[in-house]
Amino acid sequence: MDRQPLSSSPLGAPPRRRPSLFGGVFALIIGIYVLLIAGILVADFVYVTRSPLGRRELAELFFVAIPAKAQLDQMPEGEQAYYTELGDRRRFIKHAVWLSVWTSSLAALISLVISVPTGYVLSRGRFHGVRLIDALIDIPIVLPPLLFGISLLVLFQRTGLGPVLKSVGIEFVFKPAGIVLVQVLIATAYGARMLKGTFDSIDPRLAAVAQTLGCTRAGAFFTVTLSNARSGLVAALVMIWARALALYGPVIAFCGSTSMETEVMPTRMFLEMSVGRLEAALFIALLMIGMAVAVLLVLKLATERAADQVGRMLRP
Amino acid sequence: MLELQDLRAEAGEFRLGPINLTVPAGAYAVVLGPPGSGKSVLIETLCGLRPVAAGCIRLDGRDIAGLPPRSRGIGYVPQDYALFPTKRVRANVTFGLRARGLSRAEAHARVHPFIELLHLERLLDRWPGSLSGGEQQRVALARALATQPHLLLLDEPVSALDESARDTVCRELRRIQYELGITTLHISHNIEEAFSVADLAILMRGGRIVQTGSMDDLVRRPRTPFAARFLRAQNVFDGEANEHEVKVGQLMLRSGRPAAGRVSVMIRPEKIDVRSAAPAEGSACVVPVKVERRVDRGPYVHVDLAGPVPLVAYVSHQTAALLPDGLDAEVWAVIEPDDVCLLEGEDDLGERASGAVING
Repeated sequence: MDRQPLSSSPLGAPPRRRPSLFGGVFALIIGIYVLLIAGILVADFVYVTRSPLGRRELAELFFVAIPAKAQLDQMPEGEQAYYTELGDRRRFIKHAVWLSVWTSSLAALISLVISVPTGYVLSRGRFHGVRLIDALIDIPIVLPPLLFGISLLVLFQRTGLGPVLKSVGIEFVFKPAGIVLVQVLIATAYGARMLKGTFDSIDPRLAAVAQTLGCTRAGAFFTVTLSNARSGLVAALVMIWARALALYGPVIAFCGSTSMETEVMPTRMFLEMSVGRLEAALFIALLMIGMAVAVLLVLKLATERAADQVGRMLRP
Repeated sequence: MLELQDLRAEAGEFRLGPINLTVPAGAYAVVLGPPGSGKSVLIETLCGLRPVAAGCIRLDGRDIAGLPPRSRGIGYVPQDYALFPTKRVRANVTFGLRARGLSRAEAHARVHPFIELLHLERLLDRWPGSLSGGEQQRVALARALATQPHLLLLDEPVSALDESARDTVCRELRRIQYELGITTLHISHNIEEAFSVADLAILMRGGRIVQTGSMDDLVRRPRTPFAARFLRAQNVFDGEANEHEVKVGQLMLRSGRPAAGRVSVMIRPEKIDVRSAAPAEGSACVVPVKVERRVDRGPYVHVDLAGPVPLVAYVSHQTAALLPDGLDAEVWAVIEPDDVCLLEGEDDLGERASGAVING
């Protein structure tokens, strides 16, 4: 038997919906926003690929082969210096990419670990200090991120805390660990705020019932509440990771931007722009966009799979 | 057996108790009361989800007031069933046993009788979101019963169901409770629901027990005007008693029980006999009234009567057919002294009412 298409009705083709003003206004608003983002990306790409400096940057970093050391030794001094400098730049960028990836990924995981209990307490807490915590959590969201870099510098360099931690082998200032600390400090606020919304939407009676059935309070939280918060957790992880990856102001203030040490992609981009090498800055921006899009796509797919799973659970 | 002694708890500004109550082993008790009367706070306190401020909760002789919810031996079915949405029916039902450390196979074997009892065989691989209200309720019940609790707490178990399903589900609940012999506390604000299941009814108001007894007791002999009104005794009046006579406004009633001073009286609407002709002299109080409104309620006819005090009577279709046609028809309301029930004046929220102990 032929299967009828889902859209067909017993009377033939379904009546076409007339375009409404409501739908039109929504489409216009969304269209402007999406076009703006797409326009920015296209403009960056065109500017980098059409400008001589951008093309050189692109060609040198991806396509120019660096001769082996034996060959290099036989080359004139000028060419040797060129290839050495190119090799250094490649290593610097590779290091910056790797440093960005691992610091933001580690920071995202640490932030998530902090955001889960914080979001839960903000959602379910009924004690007096909960409003104060709520207000404090918003500070990293509303204030300029640079402030936190400067403030951390003051905390670890102008108080006794830095030397105390150094004596036990922990150093943050001008170290990659400091980058993670800055990212955790700021990204956690976004994660906690997002997870508060997730926990708000989960019926507290689920955990209450789990307790009457034999779970401890912690057991009920992990087996029931967190299990129901899965899609929210993935979404929060995306948000935290993206926020951590994009930070540069507080990273420069607290950790500096030393090549092969504390230089992450956003700080390199900022420094390139500050010395007028706009094409080089945009080139790094494009690299970051590519990375971010890849990671976000993976995480979004994971979220959709989680949402699909929930959808299947709700379908008869 | 569930015994509560001077039980007190707090929920924000709300104070529950002191509550004294005994529910015999294997009894089906229904806690009745309007919204805000403390029924749900009571159930949460019994479950251990709310701390006990004072007093004692004894379940089958064991004081459980200080125990965590998992150690109390109580099965809890919340109002909207709270099935775990990310677990299939099978995992929902075995959840309690798995949480207690049983293997998957052991847990499945142990829940099998409850799956059969509640006819869940065909639902085991379904997700909770795909079940109807009645199916969800059966799953929630199986999940609560699977751990073989000593007490089953049902928080408004049929309120989420449509009218037509409620009676069937109530009958089913009673059958399951009877087969398992489990002591059950069922929260409700619906009198019909209580009538269909309750061995024992507990009426609450303002965090305290107002009256306990069988449903028949509560309906026939409400202790306070609040109890009378909640149990839908339409004719509740304040009056002045002098021996067997009670003056309510311009109406002089005779009561079967002597009293003195200010009293509240209740006359159940089905006890008022409405006639088209005045009866012969007797002990009954005969009141000339006019028919103000008639409403056919199916099994009976609701008649509003205007007279010295406004009265409501429920009469049979046969009686209604004998009354003169039209509104403002002049008829007689006949009230026997034994049907004039004297209430305890003020609504009693004190220790005396909550101290009611029902045995057997």
